Amino acid sequence: MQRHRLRTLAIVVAVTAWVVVTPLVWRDLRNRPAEQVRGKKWMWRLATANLSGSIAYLLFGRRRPA
Amino acid sequence: MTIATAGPTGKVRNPWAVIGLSIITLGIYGLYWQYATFKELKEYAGKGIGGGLGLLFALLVGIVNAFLMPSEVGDLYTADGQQPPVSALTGIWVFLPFVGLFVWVIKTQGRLNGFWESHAAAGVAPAGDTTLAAPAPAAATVTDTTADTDAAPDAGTDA
Repeated sequence: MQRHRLRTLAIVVAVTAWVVVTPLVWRDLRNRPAEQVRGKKWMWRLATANLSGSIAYLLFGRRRPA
Repeated sequence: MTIATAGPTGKVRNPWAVIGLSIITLGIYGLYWQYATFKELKEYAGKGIGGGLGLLFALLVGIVNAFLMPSEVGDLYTADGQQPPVSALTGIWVFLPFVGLFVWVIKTQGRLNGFWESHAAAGVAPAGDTTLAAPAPAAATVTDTTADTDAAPDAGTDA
């Protein structure tokens, strides 16, 4: 039963993270100039539907303004 | 823990075929595989997240399934009175760059195949099942003999 609770907790945490992170990433993508995004924006929009895609975008998808 | 119902066993899938088809179809087969696996796990054990939720997690929070699927596979073994060869910790493999995902699929699907093969006879009740009625003891005895021989080489828990 302990394991079941842990599993449920992990799911809730991951889904909550998705609910919080995804809109933030999409807003960032919308507002960020294309030259500050590595690759195509539409590809990132597709990829960031998944939490791991959002994490990848935050880590590698953005260019710092020159 | 007990499995409430022992439904039909799932399909045995070659882990390398799962990997290959997932690559060829740009991940679409991978989504189907996760859907089908969670569906079969629920149909057999009567519990688990099931295919629909498994697919939803795969689409939105895929990382959850990396831990959840081996955990559910391990639960099958546990309910059968065996040492689970995979557990939620197996999901850590996906963090290993390049080959981690392959290792994860091979371990998870491989152990699941082992379970399905050892329980291939339709309606075989898991040894740990206490909820079945009269026919259960005979079926459970059959399970014991087959499960022991199949489980012996891989008794240890992978992480």
